[in-house]
Amino acid sequence: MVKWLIRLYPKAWRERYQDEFEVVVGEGNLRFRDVFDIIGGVMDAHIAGVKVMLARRKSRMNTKKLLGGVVLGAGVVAGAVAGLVSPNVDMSVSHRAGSLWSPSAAVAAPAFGVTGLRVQRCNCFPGSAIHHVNSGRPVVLALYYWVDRGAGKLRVSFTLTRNGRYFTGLVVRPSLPAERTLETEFPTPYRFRLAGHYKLVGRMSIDGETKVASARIIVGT
Amino acid sequence: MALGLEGMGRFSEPALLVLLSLAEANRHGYALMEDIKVSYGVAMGPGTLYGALARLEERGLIRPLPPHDRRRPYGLTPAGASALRSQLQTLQAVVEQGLRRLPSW
Repeated sequence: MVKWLIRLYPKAWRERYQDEFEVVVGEGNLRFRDVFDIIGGVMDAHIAGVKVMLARRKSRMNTKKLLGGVVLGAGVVAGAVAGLVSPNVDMSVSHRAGSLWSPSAAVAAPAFGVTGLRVQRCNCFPGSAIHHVNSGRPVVLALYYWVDRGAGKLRVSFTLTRNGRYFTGLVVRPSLPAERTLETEFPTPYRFRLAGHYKLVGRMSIDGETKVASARIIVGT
Repeated sequence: MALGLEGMGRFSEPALLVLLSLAEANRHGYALMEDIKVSYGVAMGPGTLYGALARLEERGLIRPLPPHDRRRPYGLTPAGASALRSQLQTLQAVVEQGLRRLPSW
């Protein structure tokens, strides 16, 4: 019964969750209402963002494999990834006392452009990065930021220009300390109208101090 | 755009309960269901649990840890802790406001 229910989930979902899901269902007594709950989960998995999530993961993995194979040989080290994709990035900048943007362990996880999208250049500041550019479905552009200071007014903006003209953007004023990924997402049908040259810029300012991260992006179809 | 717990629809409450449970300790799926049942009196079904886990993982609010015996534990990320704190502060404001409006009842 359980295996039959699990087979109703999308293949991508099963590849990711089937093992642990079987254990979870097998450990408890499967109640009648759980069957309906699982069927609801099946419907949700088909219509919701699980495929998007898996596409992103797959893209990241492909990128890591590609970069790792070309440059690093054995695995992807974040600094090296940033160094490869972002020749101007200075990952060695040390955290100075009072700096707003400290080096963060989380910066060890940025992933960059994948099939159909290519990041030409990326200037990052320590602790923040153009986090991922994904050509899955939908297209996702994201800026990761991290601020460890617990006072002041922080403003983070995220702007995408296309061929020099404003395309989209957003602004947030989070409370501090802050760690988030700002994402702008384009639905799949829109992807085919996205081809062109883009510049993605993330700006963070606090108490008059501003830092900027930018990336040039080529979007293919 | 995917930020915090916004836009999760019917998974908002399950996601909040999962974050609350993970705020205490890393837990795998079954342990999450048990803890949520004991701590909050909510019997969460496996379909709902994994719908919430998938969304939380997608948003970077939780992270999967290496599995033990096919059981994969999950842990809260700093972003998840921040989202949880923000959500609790919102709920606290709602509760305080609500209680202020109920003194005579």
